Amino acid sequence: MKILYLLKQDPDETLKRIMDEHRKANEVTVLDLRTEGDHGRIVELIASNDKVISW
Amino acid sequence: MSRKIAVLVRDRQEEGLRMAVGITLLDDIIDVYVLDRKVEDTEKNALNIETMREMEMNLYTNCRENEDMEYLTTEEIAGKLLGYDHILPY
Amino acid sequence: MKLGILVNTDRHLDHIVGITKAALSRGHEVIIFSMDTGTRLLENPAFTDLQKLDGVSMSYCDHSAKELGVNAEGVQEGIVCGSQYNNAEMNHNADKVIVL
Repeated sequence: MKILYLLKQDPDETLKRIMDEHRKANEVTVLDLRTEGDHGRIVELIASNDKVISW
Repeated sequence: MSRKIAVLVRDRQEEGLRMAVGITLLDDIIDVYVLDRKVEDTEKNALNIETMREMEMNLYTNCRENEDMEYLTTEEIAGKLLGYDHILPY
Repeated sequence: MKLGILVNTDRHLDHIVGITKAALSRGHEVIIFSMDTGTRLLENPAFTDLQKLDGVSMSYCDHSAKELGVNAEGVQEGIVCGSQYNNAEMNHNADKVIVL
């Protein structure tokens, strides 16, 4: 499964553990919205991933 | 077709819990995960949780202080999240 | 794709606007529901003007707006003054939902 994380802040300990767990058997992409300004790329990743988690 | 939605309640508990109750209005499946902290003892929180109980919604937590919810480890929660259509961290 | 954007803060306007326009340009539809401090954006034309774009539907939680004293008088026709029912609709109809 492909999972996209959209980060709006530094990951806390809980999110790090969730991400670590997801990485074991999934393809994980992390986008930091504080530095990512290419909205076309963001939309394409949202569309192409199975799950999106905004944090 | 029903959607399956996970609401992850973090620091803004009152609004997160209110939303979780509110989005049940179209008969989608809404499960609630209270993360990292005990639910604050407020009138609004108590009312929303009581409503969830009446609607037989699933309430999970990774915080053992929430004694009236089903405890799961953070890793178990991570696994369950992949079964939802939408994941809404609040 | 129908993209839902749950706007529950007023901190990410640039991304809301940018993602909405980028999604439309790729043929997607966008559904925006604002609540909590996200309703403060109703006072900003850069946010409310999104309603004018083909393929965008917008609504907000009147309870939140009233509780926060948001001035929604200037909100355009077509932006639905609603409730969590509109949020439920967004989540029911959208293929993907992001939270900003």
